[in-house]
Amino acid sequence: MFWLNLALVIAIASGLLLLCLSPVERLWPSARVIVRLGFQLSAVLAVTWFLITLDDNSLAASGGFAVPAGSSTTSQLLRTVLAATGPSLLLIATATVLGSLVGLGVAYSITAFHDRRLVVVGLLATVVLAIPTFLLAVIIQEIQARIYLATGQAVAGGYARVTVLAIFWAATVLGLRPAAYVFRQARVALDQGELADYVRAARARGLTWPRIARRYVFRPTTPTLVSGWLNSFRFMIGSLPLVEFFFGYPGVGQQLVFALGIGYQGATPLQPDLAIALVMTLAVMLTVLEAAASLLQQLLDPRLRELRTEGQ
Amino acid sequence: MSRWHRAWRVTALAVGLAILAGAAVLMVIGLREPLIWSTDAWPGGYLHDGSVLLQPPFPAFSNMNVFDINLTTHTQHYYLLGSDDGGRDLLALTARGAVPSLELVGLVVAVRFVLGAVAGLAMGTGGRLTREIGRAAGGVLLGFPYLALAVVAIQAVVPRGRWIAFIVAMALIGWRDIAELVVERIEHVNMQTFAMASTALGTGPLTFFRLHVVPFLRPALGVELPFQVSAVLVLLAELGYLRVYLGQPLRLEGGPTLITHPELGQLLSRAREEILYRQLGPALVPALAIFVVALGFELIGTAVRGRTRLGV
Repeated sequence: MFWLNLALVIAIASGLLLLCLSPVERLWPSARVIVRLGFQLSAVLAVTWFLITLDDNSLAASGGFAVPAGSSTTSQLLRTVLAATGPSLLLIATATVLGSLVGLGVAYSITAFHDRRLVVVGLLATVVLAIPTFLLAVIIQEIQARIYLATGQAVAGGYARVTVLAIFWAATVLGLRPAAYVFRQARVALDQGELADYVRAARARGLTWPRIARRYVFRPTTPTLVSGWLNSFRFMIGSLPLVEFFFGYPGVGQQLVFALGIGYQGATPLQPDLAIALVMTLAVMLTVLEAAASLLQQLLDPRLRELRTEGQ
Repeated sequence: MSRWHRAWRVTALAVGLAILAGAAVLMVIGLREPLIWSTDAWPGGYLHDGSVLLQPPFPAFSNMNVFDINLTTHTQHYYLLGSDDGGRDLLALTARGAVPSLELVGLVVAVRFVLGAVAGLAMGTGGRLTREIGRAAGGVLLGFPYLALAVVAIQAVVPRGRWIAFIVAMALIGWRDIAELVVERIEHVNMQTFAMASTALGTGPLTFFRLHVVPFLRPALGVELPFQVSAVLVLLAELGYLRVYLGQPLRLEGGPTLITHPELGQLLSRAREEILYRQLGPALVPALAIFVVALGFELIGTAVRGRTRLGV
């Protein structure tokens, strides 16, 4: 019942915040995001608990084996989760930087240089989006093997270890599909931005294209790009368990796969408490970033801020 | 629309259709092969010239004279894509495996569209409360890492049947995008002057929906369809790699999985071991089959979207 109680506590705290802050017009646009975050986390926790309990029951009915709920202490759970969170955060941060730089960078370059030949990159993004993540990982492993055969240098960075090279390769796999996704979203937003009346007006005034792109295309589309970027981040967190499982990377994703009863040599015992704690860890990363992105959008686009204030 | 975009759209559509046609031809060839090549085990065989004895997996483009486990039946067979480690023809295996997998994909996409359309209609035409509830439900699902949600939901629903478990879990992930699309289209129509005029003239809600909403909704959903098929295929492959698949594997008593049944997810479930033992064929052929079909749908989706919107 610990998890349900925790969900209830978070929901009550969010409700109290809602009651106290909703009448304060000045604070509410920002506080609303935090209240929503609280309700979202509480609901995610309740749903996770429900699904894992169903999973546990069905396993018991089929004669499977699971670690009994409540068998690990809170401090043990915390230790396991914290030990796995550090490496995962490192991996996610690297993948985010790589993915954002590549995806947004290429999309911006196409608009800034206005060279339609670069649109061919779109084909590459479509191809990458259709590749299952583990196949990307296989390709990366092949590249590592080829480098080793050609130079005699082991560039994989070791297996199941947190090294710079291991992070780089895993982050490349983790960041490639989100990069393709964010590129595609950014291209749509920037292409539509280029069609706006104020862009035509700026052209008629004789401004140079780089200036038009910077001031009249990039700036107004930034809030839309933030939303696309956030979706690509969801993509990344979603495939984190698979990437960490593939590379044997000791992070939250790998621990979660183990806790759900999937091991390298076959089925392992389901660990309900650990599974819920790890799902929540990933959910916190996602929802906190979502809240931050929402605040950033309001900051970047005053129209959005007004709309959300009026919405209340 | 610029010449570049038109050329890009036509090329993407042509390539996408060609890829799907090629995959369909290969599938028909595979399905026409006798059943024994996707069910029976062949522990060894001689290359057609009789010079070399090989153990499976047999390489691609090899003409083999194979024998059964009693060393009695000798049969000649041409392995276009090679064999798995049971000597089964990968082309026949993948073609037969594609049938249940594609059925599952079709069902999941259908359920996603029905769920998304119903929820989107309720949110778009209902009151503010309905919209908030719909958004909150979608928000909760967004808080989950998608792969973990799929695994947990499948394991939780499995006692009610594996097909139902897969349909429920995989539909749970993507319905929100469709619902948001439907809401966005309805809001777009409602803001148009012709819609206001129609309402003022006393058009009933059903007639309004049929006359004014459906024509806007149909192309938007049509564009979304290929992307959803592609996304579900990739998800199926990723779940397969994590050993979450339809059907039951054939196991030795208390031992490892021996030979998998023809289903794409299940064929991929041994990918990890096969890659470790450098048996790339059995791991890559089903993965590439999924990639190729997903790529075909992605390209068609990109081309169809280009008709209504700019961007790549």
